[in-house]
Amino acid sequence: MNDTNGRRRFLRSAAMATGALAAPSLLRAQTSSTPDDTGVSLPSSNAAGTASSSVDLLSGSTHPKFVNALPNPLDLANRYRPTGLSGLLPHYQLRLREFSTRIGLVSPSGTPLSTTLWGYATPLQTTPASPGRSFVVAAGLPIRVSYVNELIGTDGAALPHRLGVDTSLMWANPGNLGGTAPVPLVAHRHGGAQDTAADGLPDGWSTPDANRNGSPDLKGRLYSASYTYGNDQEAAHLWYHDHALGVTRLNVYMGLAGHYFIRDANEAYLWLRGMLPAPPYEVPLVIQDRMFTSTGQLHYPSQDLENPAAPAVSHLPEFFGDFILVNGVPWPTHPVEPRPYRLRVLNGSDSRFYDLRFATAAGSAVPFSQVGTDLGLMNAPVALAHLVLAPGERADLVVDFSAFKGQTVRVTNSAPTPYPDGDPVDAATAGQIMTFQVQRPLNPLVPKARLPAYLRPLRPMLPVPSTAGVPVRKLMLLEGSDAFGRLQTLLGTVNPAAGNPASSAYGTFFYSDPVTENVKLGSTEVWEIYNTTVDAHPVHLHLVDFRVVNRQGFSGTVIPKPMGPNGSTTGGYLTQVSLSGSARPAEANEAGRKDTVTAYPGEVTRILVQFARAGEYVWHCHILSHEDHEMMRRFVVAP
Amino acid sequence: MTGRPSLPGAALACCLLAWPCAGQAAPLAEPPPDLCVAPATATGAPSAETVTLHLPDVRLQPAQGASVSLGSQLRSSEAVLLNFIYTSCTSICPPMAQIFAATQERLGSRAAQVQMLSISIDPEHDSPRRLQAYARRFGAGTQWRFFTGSLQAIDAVQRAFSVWRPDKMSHTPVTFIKPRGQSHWWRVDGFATPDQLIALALPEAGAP
Repeated sequence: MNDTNGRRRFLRSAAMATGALAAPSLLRAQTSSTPDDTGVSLPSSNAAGTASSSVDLLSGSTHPKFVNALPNPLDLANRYRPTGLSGLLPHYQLRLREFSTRIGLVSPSGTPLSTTLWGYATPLQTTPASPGRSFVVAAGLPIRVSYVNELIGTDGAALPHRLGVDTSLMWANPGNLGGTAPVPLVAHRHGGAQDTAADGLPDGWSTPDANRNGSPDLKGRLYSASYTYGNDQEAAHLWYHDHALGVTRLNVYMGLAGHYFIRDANEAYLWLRGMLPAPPYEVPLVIQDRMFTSTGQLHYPSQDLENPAAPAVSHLPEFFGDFILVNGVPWPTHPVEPRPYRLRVLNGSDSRFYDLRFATAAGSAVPFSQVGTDLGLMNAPVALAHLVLAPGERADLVVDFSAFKGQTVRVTNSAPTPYPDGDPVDAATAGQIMTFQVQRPLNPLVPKARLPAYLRPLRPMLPVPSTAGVPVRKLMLLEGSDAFGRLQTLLGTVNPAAGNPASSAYGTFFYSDPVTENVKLGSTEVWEIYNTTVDAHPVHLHLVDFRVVNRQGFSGTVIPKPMGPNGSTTGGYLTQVSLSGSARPAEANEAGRKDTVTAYPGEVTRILVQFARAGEYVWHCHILSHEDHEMMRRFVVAP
Repeated sequence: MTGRPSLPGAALACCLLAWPCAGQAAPLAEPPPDLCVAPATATGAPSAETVTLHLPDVRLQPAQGASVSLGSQLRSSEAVLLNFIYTSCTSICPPMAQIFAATQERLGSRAAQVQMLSISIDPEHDSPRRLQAYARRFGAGTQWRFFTGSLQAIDAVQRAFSVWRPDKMSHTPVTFIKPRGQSHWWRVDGFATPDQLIALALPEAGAP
């Protein structure tokens, strides 16, 4: 770790001692995905995958900021209305379509630009929206949702992908048609406790029904025409986003994500007593970074300039854009009253962590509280000065603008890329998120919310997680190299035997390798996630909510593990694990139900998980560029 | 090429479960413990739909003889029945093979009118010799041929037929039928009966 620019092995000395993983790919190779603020053209590629065309980019540093209005995803017009009944259940039919819209981009001369996006329409709300409209549903009341892939051109043929598909990855590859295949789409409800058939797993994709025979032309093995969501969980901030195998990063980048809120009686209790800001003083914020061409089109880098061996259209280790979109709008502004607001923040970015602060233009910090984690309210509010939010994570915040009447409150980001030890964020671009202008008069008819000491009056108190007697599963995160010499992000297992010896039953595995996380239905497990890489990874488990127990430093020896045809991929075994220091308890703002946890480099992160539903699911790094490149494993819960 | 096939899977599973793990050149060993997962849908009535396939340009290795291109095997107007099996599977594949065997028997003198293909999804272990032994076990006639191939070729074929799964143990019973004289395929999920297969393959002949 002596050189943060030299990718990327936490346990470097150990690896070298045992024969070392290939060096070139471990060098930081994502510079080609770093936006160029000087206006210089970067090489790019078109959707058909031919290489070495060149593209002019819009510059995030000089683009106007804080002029576009923030849409509120909880405004009635931005919520889905049921489109009918399916049996006795409200049915929502979502049509996933390509459309063009103005999100607030302008050319350097100030001309408004249009952007082609993929979004969600319904038979009743026929204008596609991206990010998608919000589901707002009641706890315990099931609904049925159909996500219909309608990425069809005016000629009736299925559209190929707008972005370069790296066909060297393990990906859906509908019909074996390669990079020009119809786009596979599948919507996962992130944070939902749902059956396998309703989960929206990577193999649940489908292509459009271009042949008009009533069903998608091509389907993955887990495709389901409609999903039943029981909503049998606490009030929480779920979200839905595309999850198609190997192209998740591209499909989400094109716009396929939205909020999903569950409401319950506990939350209503707090609203009615003025203990939690209620709409319109509740504002969801989905933060996403992007790059745009000079004509306003989404740009996703796909050339690995530092690796001549990489495919012409190549996956890159991460994506970091120089435009910040909040609710789909670049650097928006939102007028607010001098009162507390509830902000439901979602990091919907590919790879970027955010370290958020609220401050006035004069620089005085605006304190705020976190009241909820990914999947519900905590026992008590937690006062924060700043908030670290990993890709996929949500935070339920209450920010009090009362003391800042007439002022502008800026939301800024200081998270390095990659997090936490990468390059500093550019203060002129991704260092800025949005502003709140405290300019609206206080509505005297609605009392200001006053946070209670205890947030779960109608729910059981969340216990301190206890791991006594709970079986432990040892897992690992590792970065090796793939057949093209590229960084290969992987998950794996650690041999629990003394000394953690290398054995082919352990170590890193591909998505398609046999399941190693076979869990008994109804059981509770501690998952110990050993991060051998130099970067933080947000680890997400489908199906479950879990509790963060603690984190602890460790050292160990990584032994290379040949993987794939002819051993062309290098993974690893983590051996001789030795814990160091004492365990660090979970952060104060992690004291709630979680589905995504940041595993910091050089630490084992321990989570307590209960598996209450049988089926096949996945756990993965929520850096989309990583999950698309094998940092995802299936797990099976069975009686 | 397209995705990376699931290479280490089978070998690893063998080691995990301490099977007598058959290597590439090993003779047909004792069938390993059953790892085939019978899906819930397999117990219900089979469902049929027509599908359009784009056959990949790959070469497959028949149980006997030199490698052939898949397209050349299927480009005729003859009726085709095609399924996916692997020789060490002990729950889904034997019934699938039994159904083909019964179909062959049911066709009787018409058997030559229907090409039957069984493609292994375990090319790592299913050598031509193992496939020959498997074919003998089910009394396959000359019109019923078994194929294996490279990992890449088998991967491409599975994706082209939309039957790819991350590991072979979780495969499901699927039969593809190209009716005589037609270019479309039927995809039947579940265990179809021999009569159903014959009716789809030789529609003009009517059910026997």
